[in-house]
Amino acid sequence: MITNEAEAHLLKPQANPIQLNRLLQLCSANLPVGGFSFSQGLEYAVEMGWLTSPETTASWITINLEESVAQTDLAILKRLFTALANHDLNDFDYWNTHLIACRESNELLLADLAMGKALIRLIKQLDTIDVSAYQEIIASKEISFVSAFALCAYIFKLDLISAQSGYCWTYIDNQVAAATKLVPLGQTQAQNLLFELTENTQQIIEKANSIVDDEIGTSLPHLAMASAWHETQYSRLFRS
Amino acid sequence: MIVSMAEVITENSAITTVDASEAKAIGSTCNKSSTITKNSWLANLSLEFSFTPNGTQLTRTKRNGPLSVQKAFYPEGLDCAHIYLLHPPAGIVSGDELRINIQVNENAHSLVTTPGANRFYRAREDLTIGDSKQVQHCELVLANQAICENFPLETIVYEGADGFNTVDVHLQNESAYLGWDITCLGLPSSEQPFKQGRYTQLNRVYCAGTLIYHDRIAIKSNNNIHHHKAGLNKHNVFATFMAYAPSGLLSENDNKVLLEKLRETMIAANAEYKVSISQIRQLLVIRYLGQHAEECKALFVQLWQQIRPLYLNKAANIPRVWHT
Repeated sequence: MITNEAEAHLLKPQANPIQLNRLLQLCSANLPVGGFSFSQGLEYAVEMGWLTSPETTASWITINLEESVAQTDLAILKRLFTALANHDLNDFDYWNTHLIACRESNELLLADLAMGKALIRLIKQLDTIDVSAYQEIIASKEISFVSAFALCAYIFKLDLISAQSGYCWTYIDNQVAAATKLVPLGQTQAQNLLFELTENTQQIIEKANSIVDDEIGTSLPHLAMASAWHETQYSRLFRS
Repeated sequence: MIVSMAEVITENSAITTVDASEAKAIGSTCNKSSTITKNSWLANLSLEFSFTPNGTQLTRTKRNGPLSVQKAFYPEGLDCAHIYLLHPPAGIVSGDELRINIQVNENAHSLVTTPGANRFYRAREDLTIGDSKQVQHCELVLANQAICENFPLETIVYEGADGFNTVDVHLQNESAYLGWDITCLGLPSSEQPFKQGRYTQLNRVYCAGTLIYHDRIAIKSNNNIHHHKAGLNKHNVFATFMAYAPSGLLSENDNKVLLEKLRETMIAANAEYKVSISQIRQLLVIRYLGQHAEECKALFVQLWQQIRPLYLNKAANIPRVWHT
């Protein structure tokens, strides 16, 4: 039997349903930005026998999240969000340029720009979304996926932490999906990995939001090399 | 010239064995104008190369502290000025901040190298004496049609160091740049592995004022980058060779052929798993990850010998100082 008090608690929304749905839409694997055609170096790592199990896969994705994603993508996502809140499109452009410069191989750069471009194209075509205030960004020649993601999240009225959580999820989901095909992993192993990897999201976001400008950008040299080698890998499932 | 270089090298290796305060004392007697604040030592060296009727000349030298250069010399003709950067203490201790600024004006061509390895020594632990940070910042500013080659010998980072090494390259669309940095963590050959230190190598490239490449490798004892497969994979030597060709110099096809040739060279040298090559728009980014600075240098020289004729229209004759 449900008491009145319990019922009241159940009905009290923890998150705004419309914003939650926007976040789910932005982070859905069905978002047509082509994320699933890139492996971010993971395909080469599997080819070389570096990733052979759920454990080695988890370790690979974790160091990426803690170092590269936290200190580059998420830290700059915060600055892009701030620029949008301040209506400072020059600042937005500065951080977008910085992000693009942090891509350590041609393949990583192309993946980021291709996905950024696709997301901008999509948002321009959404009937209920007015992007007229952001013409300058929409018209810019090159936009990182992170910048496009920040713009969408901002227009969807998501808060920063939700946007960063969503970005982490997109990254984790994408890498686990690639690993599922390549390592390969079973469906249940993949679901367990998603649980395990998302446990650290809060800590990763806190790290991203605590660093100063001088600490932005962290390269993982062997990953950068894996991605460069992937550009000429003989047989592959993922784009370069 | 070579004889006097040998003297400098001998002197360097002698100094590396003395402690930091003595090294500073030796350096400061050489140049009284050096800036010594409380347990920190700031050194600046600023050079300007210009193209004159007599080829590329070192037209301005400004120095403060122990960094210096000898006269430019011309092993391949007056077009290209070769220069050795000298740092008599041969290493950087806590509180040191070395700033090098090299400006290359239109049509000038300079090749900068060093006669000995650079060193970031063990940092001070007693912070009441002063900050533990050790800083080197090298800035290369190229005009349009300027050429700069920047090939320092390796940087050795001692166990317990707290080093920050930054290389900023400022290009224009029509500049040409070839340069590398080679970092060795610890002295594994003499069983001094790198366990507790901190070291950040930051490479930034700007073209016409816009940041086009930013690579920051930050090794700390509390991150796993040194040992993780995705990081340095337990290796102690990491290096980057960057090359930038003036826009429009190479056709798309020439470029493709060059990349294939470079990759084939690495396969022929059995180094295809030690060296990666990627071209990020106009910037060629070549990385080495392994155990030996000598091996890295030899591989990079092989690549340089193929890139230089195409990018600079010059044969690549190995500077004599590299043979020592």
